[in-house]
Amino acid sequence: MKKFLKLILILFFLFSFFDLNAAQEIKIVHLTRVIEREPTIYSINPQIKNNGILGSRMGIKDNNTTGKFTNQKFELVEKNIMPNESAKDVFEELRKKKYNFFILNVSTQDLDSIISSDILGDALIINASLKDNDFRNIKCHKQLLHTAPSYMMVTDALMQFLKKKNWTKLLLISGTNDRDKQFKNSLKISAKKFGLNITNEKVWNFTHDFRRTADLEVVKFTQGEKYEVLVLADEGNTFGDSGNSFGDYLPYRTWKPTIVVGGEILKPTSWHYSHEQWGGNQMQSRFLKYSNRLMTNIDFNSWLGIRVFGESITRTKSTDPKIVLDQILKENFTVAAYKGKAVSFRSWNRQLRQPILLVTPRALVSVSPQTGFVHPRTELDTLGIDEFDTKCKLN
Amino acid sequence: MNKNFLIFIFFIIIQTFAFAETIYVSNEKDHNITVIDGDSLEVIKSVYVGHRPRGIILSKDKKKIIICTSDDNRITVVDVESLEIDYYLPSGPDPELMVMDDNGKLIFVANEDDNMVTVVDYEKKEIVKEIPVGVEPEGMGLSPDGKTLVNTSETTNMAHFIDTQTLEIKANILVDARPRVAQYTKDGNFVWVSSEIGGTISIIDPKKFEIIKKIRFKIPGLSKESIQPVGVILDDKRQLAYVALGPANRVAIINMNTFEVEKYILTGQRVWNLIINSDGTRLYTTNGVSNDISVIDIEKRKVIKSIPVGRYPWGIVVKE
Repeated sequence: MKKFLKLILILFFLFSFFDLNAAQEIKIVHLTRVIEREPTIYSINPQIKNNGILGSRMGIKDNNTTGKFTNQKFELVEKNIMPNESAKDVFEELRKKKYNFFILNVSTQDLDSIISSDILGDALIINASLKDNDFRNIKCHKQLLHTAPSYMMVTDALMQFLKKKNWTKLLLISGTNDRDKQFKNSLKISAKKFGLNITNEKVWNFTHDFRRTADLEVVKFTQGEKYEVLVLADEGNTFGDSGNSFGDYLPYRTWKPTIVVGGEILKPTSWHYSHEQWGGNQMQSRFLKYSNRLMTNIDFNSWLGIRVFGESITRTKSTDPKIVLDQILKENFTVAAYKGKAVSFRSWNRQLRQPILLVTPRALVSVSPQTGFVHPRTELDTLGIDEFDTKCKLN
Repeated sequence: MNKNFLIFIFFIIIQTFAFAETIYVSNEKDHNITVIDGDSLEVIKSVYVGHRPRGIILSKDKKKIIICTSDDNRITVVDVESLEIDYYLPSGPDPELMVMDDNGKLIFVANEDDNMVTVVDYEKKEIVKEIPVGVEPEGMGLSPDGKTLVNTSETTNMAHFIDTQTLEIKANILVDARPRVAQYTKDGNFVWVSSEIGGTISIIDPKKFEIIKKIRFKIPGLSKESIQPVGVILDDKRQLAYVALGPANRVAIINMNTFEVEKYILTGQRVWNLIINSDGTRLYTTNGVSNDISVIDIEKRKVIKSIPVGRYPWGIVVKE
């Protein structure tokens, strides 16, 4: 018996010694909702392959370069939720395997079901695609972080730009899907916040016949309206996809010469391949070399999510999700995101504060916050839901 | 006639003395360097050197100007006398910044896109070794005894201490986000590392490999995010450090003993790199957005002149 105990003790020592030398292993899950694509304006528009995942993969590679020096090894676990699968089931299966860190590229309903899971435990979730304001407000959760900007952030960014240009009379045209409506509602709040005037609101119902009336349809649609800028609330037909559903019909076809913003025409977004400043070109070329395509905003949000986990884990040397979250929420926790300003998380709703790019399909036009919009904490907090306006109650 | 000739000779001599200092500035977007007369502070010439010139140093014999031409993936060497391209050196991909050892034999190059530090033999014109470091290596600081090289990596957020004999990494220290420049004090007791996005200077003890102090900046009317320390120059004679603060458009003067900021000097826009002139009376800064350099009188602690150069002035070097 004594001998047996001795053996166990020796084995225990050996294992603990082995453990001391082994690299700390960290597994991060990238969860993607696979969707059937809805029709787009031009069927030739390619659907982006591995959207988000390629960003996460590069994030892991970057984390491991640091990990090499800190004796930590990061690994990406890629998991798809197929069209017939429930997000909750897939998520809970992963939780049972003890995964604690998640990057999500899923739908609103998916995220709803994931954060209400009974076995959420201490798991940390970074939302890399959904802009829904509700997840930063009434549906917020203390373990749910967002590297994707909210609708309020992107519409504030757009409205600040128009205000700066002094183009303040807006005609708002929105599509009919839920994301279009969310964009529209945010835009109305932003317009009021920065003192822009929405002269009229119209809905594009998709009942128009382009074969018969051709260009005349948009002419009639915009005739008699008094405005300086036509603003689109067009978030596209398919969640997580780029491209718009009607926005491209409007420019050049209006009754009077018109500036069109919103949709894909002038889009407020977290990332675009035309962004080169502040080391951005290094990021773009690194991604292109590694992934063989251009970096999308979802790739960027995912990359940033992985880097946020990585930075926190490297600095705390811990894989305990509670300690990792505490570090992420510290006031001096910042991550370099190639946007000229340190990005960090808002304590009141777990939203990453960050500059927003305003881009055309091929060029960068401006970056918000615009000069002159000030805030007592940081100018970045002029974009999105501020501490005083939040309806988020973190339990 | 004779008298006139003597006056002419006298004038030439005066000119030669006055022509004591020359400033060279690399212009990232213009693919050239601007040559400035340090006495009249006028631009003499601009010289094409290759694509995206950034890091710029002088050879130890002061006969060559050595420039990282990043987009050409090589180093361009320009002759000081003729101001023409003399030859090229291999550098590995995307060279950004470099430092030369004291005996002028080796150049250590940070390869930004390739996560490497490349060691180049200046005389043999060949690559000696490549050392894998963090993501986007940038700052390069050599210890006064030449035994240790500090390299910072922008995305890994580390200062790597490299043994210049064995060319192996001996320590890695995590600093704040996006470290840019590393500088040793003359006594070799401290290393100053700037963190652009973290907005701090970390003072590292290079013997214990520990951060002993962090310097933060506060400027009334400016947000924390717009203060982005990049270039660091240590004035060991005065025990003052000068730090370029990027979009804060200011250079901070810091007491090297108390680590307190004594003054902020307003310069051109997005001030990045800086250098002390040959007699130690002036500071020259490159201002990337306003496309000029600021000339600062160190005693008076103010800018005495701005000189327009090319687009995106990046690095700067002074020759006696």
